[in-house]
Amino acid sequence: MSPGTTETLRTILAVLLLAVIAAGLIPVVSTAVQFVLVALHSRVNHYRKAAPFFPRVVVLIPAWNEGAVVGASIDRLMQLEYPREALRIYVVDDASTDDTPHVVRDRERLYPGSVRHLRRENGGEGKAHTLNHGLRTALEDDWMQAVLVMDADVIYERDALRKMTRHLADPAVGAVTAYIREGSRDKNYLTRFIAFEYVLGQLAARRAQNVVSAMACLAGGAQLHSRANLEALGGLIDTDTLAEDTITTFETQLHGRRAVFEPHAVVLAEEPQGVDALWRQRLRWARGNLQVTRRYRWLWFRHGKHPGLGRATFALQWFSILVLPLVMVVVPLAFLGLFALDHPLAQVAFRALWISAACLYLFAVVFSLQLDPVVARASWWQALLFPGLLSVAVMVTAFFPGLLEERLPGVFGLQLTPAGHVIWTVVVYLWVSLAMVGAWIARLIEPTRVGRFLTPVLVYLVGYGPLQCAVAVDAFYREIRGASTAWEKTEKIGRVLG
Amino acid sequence: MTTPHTGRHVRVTPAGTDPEPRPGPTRPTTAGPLAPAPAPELDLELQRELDRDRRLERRLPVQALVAALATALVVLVGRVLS
Repeated sequence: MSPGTTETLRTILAVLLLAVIAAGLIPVVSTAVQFVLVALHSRVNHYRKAAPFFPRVVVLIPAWNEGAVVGASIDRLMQLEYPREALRIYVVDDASTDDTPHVVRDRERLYPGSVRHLRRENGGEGKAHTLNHGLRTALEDDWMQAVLVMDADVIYERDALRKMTRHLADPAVGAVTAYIREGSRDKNYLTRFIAFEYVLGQLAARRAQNVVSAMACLAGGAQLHSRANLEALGGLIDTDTLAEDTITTFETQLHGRRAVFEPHAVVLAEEPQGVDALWRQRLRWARGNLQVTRRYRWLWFRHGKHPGLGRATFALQWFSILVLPLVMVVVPLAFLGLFALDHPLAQVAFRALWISAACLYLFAVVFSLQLDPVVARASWWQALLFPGLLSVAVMVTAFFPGLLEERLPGVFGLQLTPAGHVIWTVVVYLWVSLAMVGAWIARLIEPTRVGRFLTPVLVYLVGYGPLQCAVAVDAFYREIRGASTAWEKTEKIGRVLG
Repeated sequence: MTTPHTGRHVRVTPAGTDPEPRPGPTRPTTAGPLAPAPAPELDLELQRELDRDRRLERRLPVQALVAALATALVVLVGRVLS
């Protein structure tokens, strides 16, 4: 092969690798667009059409062995600042084997006419089937004008329901969701990470979705539907996927009604305190999202199919989360290839990508912490370390080349050898992929004695974001393999602040 | 007409003017009257709450600006220190 041909091939390969690296900008661009939309929510929101409104609401609580939490949830619902005569609570007991029936019947006696125990003797089919049992009962009666679907463990702030129902004053709205805030009494490092994640994923992302009139998901623990909307959906919710709440959200909008997020209606929820429990919960969610992506493949990027859900802005938000794990595997490999091919070019590309990611990360953290001062006070440290301490170090390396690998060791009279320099560069380039392996190890060692101490350290080092991406990789793997889609319930023991 | 507490328009059909008598209900009905409208002072309070939430949303661009300035400051300080 002539030197000219070799050079041409090298150039083509370098361009291809740069194109792959540019794909790493997709999540950066998507996040930037999202935060512009969040700011626009100041003007483009649904408050203009909202008004004080008190429809008769049936609160539907699916419960399978929720004896530890369901009683307190009912008590709190009865304290809501909402007309008592316009509120009924149906607990759909999915053949519980604990004291759930006893607790609910006790509340039936305590709040006569307001609480109803619906028992499924042959349960175990999952949350969607349980909800459908309750929906059928609620729709049989003309009394109900709206249904609030919630989880047995969540606690509604006193004004939450009335802040949600005010959007139903606009008949164009079919469903409303609230802000789920992590509310454990005994917070640990993981619940603090989750609290900040919910600020990003709800207070920020769902405001952006309000602006483009395309809601990705009504939170499973806070879904308010108008009767008209439920009847339009056939009175039943999807039972074929692991994401019944997302399917209901999409169907609501595809049937011509709006789904609205109310950021000032706060609902407290108990979230997993361990990596393994979190992994299993998020695996269910991630697999559900993959199933939704496949089901609505005719919709993506097709504005004509739906003015909101078919919008490119919405698809960008949806797919940037979906493809992030892929980006975190492929882009580092492209960096490695470019490093072997053209070291200075790799360095320029690396700095460009990481500096833009670092700036956006800083911006997102400062903006998001202002959205919920309660979470900001409790979780500011977890917000700063959301991508992981070592990823922050990589950002510093991108901003200030030579600081960590030359100048800092130089202070102690140390110097990296050329081989050491290459190893350092390779590790830095591959770090985001390695972080996902670190997250997987954190889950693996958690049940061991050493894991109890090492798992939190590992999560801080590799980051909560990469942990979520590792779960997403697992979800991809299981979906491709066609693994069973059995519903796995997250255990709740009543840790939410009363 | 417009309901006093929500300002929403509702359709009112005077008794006996329904052109086509409708069949009776085919499912059990316990509906009764609508939930009573909140007292005027409560209605006013709820409207104020709605206005307050709307005003809170208007702070979002300011919060974005604070975040942008903080980011610029951190980058600038970092550059100077390095």
